[in-house]
Amino acid sequence: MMKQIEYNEKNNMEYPIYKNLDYNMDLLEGIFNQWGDIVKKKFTLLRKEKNINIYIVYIDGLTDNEMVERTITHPLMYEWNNLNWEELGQEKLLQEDVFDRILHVQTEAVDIIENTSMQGAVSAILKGDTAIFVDGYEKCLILSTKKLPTRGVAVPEKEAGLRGPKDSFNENFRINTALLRRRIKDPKLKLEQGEIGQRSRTVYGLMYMEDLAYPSLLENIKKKLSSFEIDGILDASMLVHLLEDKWYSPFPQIQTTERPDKAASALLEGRVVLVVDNSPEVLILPATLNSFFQASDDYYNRFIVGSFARILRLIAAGLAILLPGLYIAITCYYPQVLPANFLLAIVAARSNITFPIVGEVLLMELLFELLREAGIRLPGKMGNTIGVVGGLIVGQAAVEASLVSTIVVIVVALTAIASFAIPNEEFASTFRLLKFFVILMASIWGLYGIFIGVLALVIHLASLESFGIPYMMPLSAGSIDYEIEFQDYLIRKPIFSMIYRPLYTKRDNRKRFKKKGGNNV
Amino acid sequence: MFSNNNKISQKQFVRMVLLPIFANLIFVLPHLSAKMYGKSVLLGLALFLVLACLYMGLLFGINYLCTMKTMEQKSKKIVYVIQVVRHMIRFAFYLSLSSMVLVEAQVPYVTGTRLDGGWKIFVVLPLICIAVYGSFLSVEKYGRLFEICFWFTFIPFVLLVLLGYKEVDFGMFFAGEQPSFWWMLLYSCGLLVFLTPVEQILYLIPVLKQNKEKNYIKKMGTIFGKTWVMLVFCVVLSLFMIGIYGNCGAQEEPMLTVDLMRYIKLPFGVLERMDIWMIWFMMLGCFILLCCSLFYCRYFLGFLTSKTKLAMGIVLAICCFVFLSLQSYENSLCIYCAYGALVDIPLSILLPLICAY
Repeated sequence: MMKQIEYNEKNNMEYPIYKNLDYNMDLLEGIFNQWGDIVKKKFTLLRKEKNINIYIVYIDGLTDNEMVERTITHPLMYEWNNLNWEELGQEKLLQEDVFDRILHVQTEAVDIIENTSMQGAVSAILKGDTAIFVDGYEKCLILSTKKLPTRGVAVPEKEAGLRGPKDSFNENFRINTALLRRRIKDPKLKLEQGEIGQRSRTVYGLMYMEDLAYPSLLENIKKKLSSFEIDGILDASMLVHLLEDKWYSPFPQIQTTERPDKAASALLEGRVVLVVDNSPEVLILPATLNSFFQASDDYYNRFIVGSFARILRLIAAGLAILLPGLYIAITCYYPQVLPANFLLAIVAARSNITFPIVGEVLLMELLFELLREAGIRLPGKMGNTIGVVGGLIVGQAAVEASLVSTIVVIVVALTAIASFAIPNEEFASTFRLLKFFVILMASIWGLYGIFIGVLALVIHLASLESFGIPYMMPLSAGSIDYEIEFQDYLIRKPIFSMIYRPLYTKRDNRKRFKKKGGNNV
Repeated sequence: MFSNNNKISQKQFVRMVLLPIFANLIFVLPHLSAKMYGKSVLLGLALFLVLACLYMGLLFGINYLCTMKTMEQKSKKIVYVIQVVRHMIRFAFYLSLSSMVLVEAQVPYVTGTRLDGGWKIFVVLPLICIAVYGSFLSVEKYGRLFEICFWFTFIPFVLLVLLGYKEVDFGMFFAGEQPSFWWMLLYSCGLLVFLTPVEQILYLIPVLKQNKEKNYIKKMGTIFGKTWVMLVFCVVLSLFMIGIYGNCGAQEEPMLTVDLMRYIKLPFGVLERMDIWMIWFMMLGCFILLCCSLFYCRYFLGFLTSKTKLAMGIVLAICCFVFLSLQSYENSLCIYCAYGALVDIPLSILLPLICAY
């Protein structure tokens, strides 16, 4: 009869590894019952006095089968058995510890460790490692043989840029950490690994520069990571929701990126990068509103071009959130603020429209959101078709059918373009959502409503924090050095004049640029 | 790293004090000074400046005497009750002022030149809600909010100075009646009520970062000095506005500051009616005043009861009732000035002394 396996409340088992291999085999049979992809094989090592049984377990598909064969089965089954016992000294070999011999002599692998608990062995097997149980020993060997299905390093899709590196993170944890290690070859770049999710057992890694990151920030993150229990973490975005203080805020308080150069830059500023297995994005903590407007391109372009792009993005953010609301407020309640010619043009464009202005704007905005959503779900080329069909044909037809005016089409198109100029997709989505709030306020109270809406957002932003850092930094940072904090705000100063690291960095280690010869610029 | 220790920096501290003073004075000083001092507006404002310096000097002296004596150490509940009532009165007056600004802003639901009937509360309600939201922030977040808002408040006045300086006519200062010196003195005392936010320096000291340093007096001197600069700035700006609008016009127009924006024209006729846009910044001033008085209400209520939210609800209900029963802004302005000269200013000097000793 199959052994019934018992798990504790944390979904762990508390069995040891037994001396008797048969017990261990029974246990593993119970654990991996009805596992079609498990590979279990019992071997017998021929010894003069007493043959030794070993038992190898791994999961097909997660493991490098060739490696298992090359480093374990072949050396054990052939090379050891073919040894000339007489020449080597049979007596000596018989006295030798079989376990130690496999560990230190017979296998050709480097990454091999001992393990004493069944939970540890099973966890390792589930990660793609191979477990080797030896009869007569209360421990097993774990050989790192992972070969997880993964895709190669691709070009970033959501954070594309004209200049700078073109690689991006993918779903493989180790590739992601390697991409960062490749950029920062400093022993002070630490990687603290852990597991999260009682069932998914997702591996995560906290990467930080030991001499730059605040220990209190690290403590805070670790405390938060250990403050909950969850079935599974399938993507880094799930962790974002669990780590954020104000979950109800529309603004993301943790930055996500798929660009290794951006993550490396954050590490060099004393921030912490959280790499999560199976996620093509890493998390950067803490984040400020300003950090969401920074794009990698800013630092690779000439400073004047980078600064211009950044100012443009800020204006775009303003347009994305305010433009439809302003159009409603002005045309419905304050037409007198517009120059007469422009006002006449609006009146002429609206002369045949049956819908009220609010209805017009809402109709077009919702149509745009619908097109965007449909475009995401469809494969690449079909997505483009949707853009053409929706944007051009439906838009044109709506104008000709006098459902909406041409001015509204321009307003909605401008708003859409502006929202796409924001470098972070998650952040841009927030702006798209808040636009509807502003539309609502503007349609009830006009410009006064917009003021109230914007003020509510400002109060909310002033109260937001990301791991102790005010979200509106450097606009609201208390007593800080203006020169340091505004060096990378609206204007991205030339690299040589950004002498100090930002406020995230430990106070005594802020200098990052020095001209050779010892003189600062 | 930053920590949530309910402490604010000196910069935040200064802005928390200066913004309400600026918002207070800039709304009422141009109109009231023209109306009260008439022909002697220059002399009257100089007198007001002298009295303001005396008042601030007195507060600085009290602050010096009570150095390091945090107000809650020897607190008396009755003092906090009086403080709450004073801030409630201010809040009701600021609501009246805000409703006037909203009328000038021509918000929807304004009938003619009035905001009355059922619409009054419907229009003012969002502003109250937002002020309540702001006032419930912790002191450091409140400080951050004021830090962000600070420079935005000055935008219309920068534009006013840049685009309106040609319109100033110095001959326009000398019009209307000339009151006697004693009346001018009394009026100046009445105007001091708009300077009472300075008093909050004494109550905010416990939340100031590193307030136990050796150079504490120097620090306080800097804060009072900046307040004085702001006061002078407001007086000069008021004179500037009276110069543009004319003394007689300023006497007649209670919302002179807002109304004046109508005469700002951007070069090349880019936009008509700049005043409509400037209303945002004026309303920011209203928000600062409302939020400030509610914040201090909550601050003092915190010493009196643990059920602050309930208490604040009651406070708001009373204030709204008072506001709805106020007949007109002009009347409430006169009553508020009289109340200031006779009750509020003496209390602002006495209460800190009672608290500390």
